[in-house]
Amino acid sequence: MSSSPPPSSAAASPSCPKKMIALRSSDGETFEIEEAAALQSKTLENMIDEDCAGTPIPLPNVTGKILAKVVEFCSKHAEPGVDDESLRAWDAEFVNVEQATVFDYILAANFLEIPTLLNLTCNVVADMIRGKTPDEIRKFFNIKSIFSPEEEEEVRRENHWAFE
Amino acid sequence: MDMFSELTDALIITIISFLPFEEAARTSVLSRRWRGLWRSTANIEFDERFFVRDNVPVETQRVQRLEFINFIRCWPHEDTAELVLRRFRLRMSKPREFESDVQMCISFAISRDVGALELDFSDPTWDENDMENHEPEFHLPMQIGMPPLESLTLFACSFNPALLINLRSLKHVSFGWIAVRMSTLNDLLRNSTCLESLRLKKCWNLEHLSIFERDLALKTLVIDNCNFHRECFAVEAPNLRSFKYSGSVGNFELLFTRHLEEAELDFGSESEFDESGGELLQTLLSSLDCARVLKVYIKCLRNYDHVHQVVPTGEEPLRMQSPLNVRHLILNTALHRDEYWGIAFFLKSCPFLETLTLQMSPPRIFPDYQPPFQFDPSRFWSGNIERLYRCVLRTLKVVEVKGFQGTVNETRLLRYLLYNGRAMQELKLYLSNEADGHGGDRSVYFQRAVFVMGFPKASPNAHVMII
Repeated sequence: MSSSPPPSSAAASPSCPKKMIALRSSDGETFEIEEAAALQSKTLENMIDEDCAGTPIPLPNVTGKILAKVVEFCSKHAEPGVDDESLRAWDAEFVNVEQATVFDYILAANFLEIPTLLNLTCNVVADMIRGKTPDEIRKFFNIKSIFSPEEEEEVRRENHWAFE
Repeated sequence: MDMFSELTDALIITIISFLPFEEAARTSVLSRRWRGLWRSTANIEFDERFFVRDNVPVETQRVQRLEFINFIRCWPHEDTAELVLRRFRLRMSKPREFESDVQMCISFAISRDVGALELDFSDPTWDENDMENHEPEFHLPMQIGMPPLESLTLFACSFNPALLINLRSLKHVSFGWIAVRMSTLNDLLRNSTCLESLRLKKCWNLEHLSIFERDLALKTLVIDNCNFHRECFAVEAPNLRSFKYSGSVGNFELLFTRHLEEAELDFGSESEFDESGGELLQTLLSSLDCARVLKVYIKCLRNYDHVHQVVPTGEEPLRMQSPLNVRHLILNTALHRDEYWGIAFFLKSCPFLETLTLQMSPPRIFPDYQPPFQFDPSRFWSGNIERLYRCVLRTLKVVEVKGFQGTVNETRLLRYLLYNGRAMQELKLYLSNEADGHGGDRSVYFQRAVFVMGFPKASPNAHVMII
């Protein structure tokens, strides 16, 4: 996805307060986020452009618990002057959570179209898959295998080079 | 509940795209839903060696190669037409036998706006250690609509230097087994101002190496066994963090700043030694003096017995003129007695050393080697005053031996380190998994490691771990 140029209103002069956007989670909690941080989300960017005049933007797909963390992520990534290495370390801590929460982050990042968060969280799940046998992967994620033994044999033969 | 049940197929494909290609293919067997998803991965590796095995007859290899070509030809194009490729890698030998398929792959990658393009046409039979220059196996023609690549790897694949002019977003470049001119490299550095890493492997036709672009963003520079007309290396790279060099010793003029973190040197391909080499080595090491991690392939150092002026009184002067800042020293060594002076040289030159890693390697004997002084190898590492190096006495905390077999040479050095290492905290012995040809195996090495555990220790905190 190409990155969008920052809109002129994002440049806040010292005397003007930074523009805050209000968000409402699926369970009714309200959160405030700086406009610069909100622009990390393509979904929010589009909604801000439509200028819903200060009413909180409803996000029916995201719970309060997750939205709080997403706001934290976007705010951190909008901060000026953070060097690559510390940001990477911060990201690593951010995703150091239980499996179910990582999946919640993925869904939120997808819904809100935040590419940095989406890549980060999908990479975490890929790390969980890496190095495991198919059985181990199924157990870890509770994937129900509905292959019959013959079907599974057929798939293995189809891609035999990957299993040798 | 199946953790993936709430995710869309597109999200699963995004996850799969972070996996290596072989692992991605293995997800096909997880469940019916996963069977075909991996074919939409954004990280494609068409690697002949997934199909062609080493240990089978030539006829079978030919059949396997055809299977590989067929696999490429059948790769789906249509329904995933929207997908941008993060990475496309093609590795095969003798590409001219299937030239149209190779061109099709390249066009395919370009049409998908690939970010990282890797073409490796090197032949597995080529020996990395010989100095032969192989003619390129393929020529990459100028491509229409080349996307703004971030990463480009070309092995045994020549190209028109004009190709690089429009690739201003390049961050990582890797050239191998091809002729490269210094002018091409300079154009690359001038055009691609975001370039972070440059690797040259087995390249030739380079007049010398001189890199002087202003504000070079370069963080990693790797020169691996390249053939230069003149061994002169002048590099000014203020942002460099990692420098790796293997090849012959030459004239190094390196201007790095305090950002340099690690340096790796391997002159092991030198087959004859040269007395001036010692001075050149000193100059090189002093330009790396800010590196915190230094890895050296010690066997090469046996060549340089005149690293410093020998004083007739027999006083041992063998060390760097000014100390190195190295905190972690990695020595690739056989601990052969011909290497003792090289090891001593480094211990003496790294007064702030905190971690010493010994990677055990098979010995390489130089029949012409003469040590700088006559000495008794069994007494070299005993505690006479000349061997009490500052780092051993004051700063060395961790010693690791990778591939420990418990040979006499290993145990002599370890006894010396434990006996004198007042700051020592850990000695980690990673047992070798290989047989030593004299009936020794892992259980024997384990016994010997236990023996080492009993050596007298200067530091009350020191403990030995066997891994």
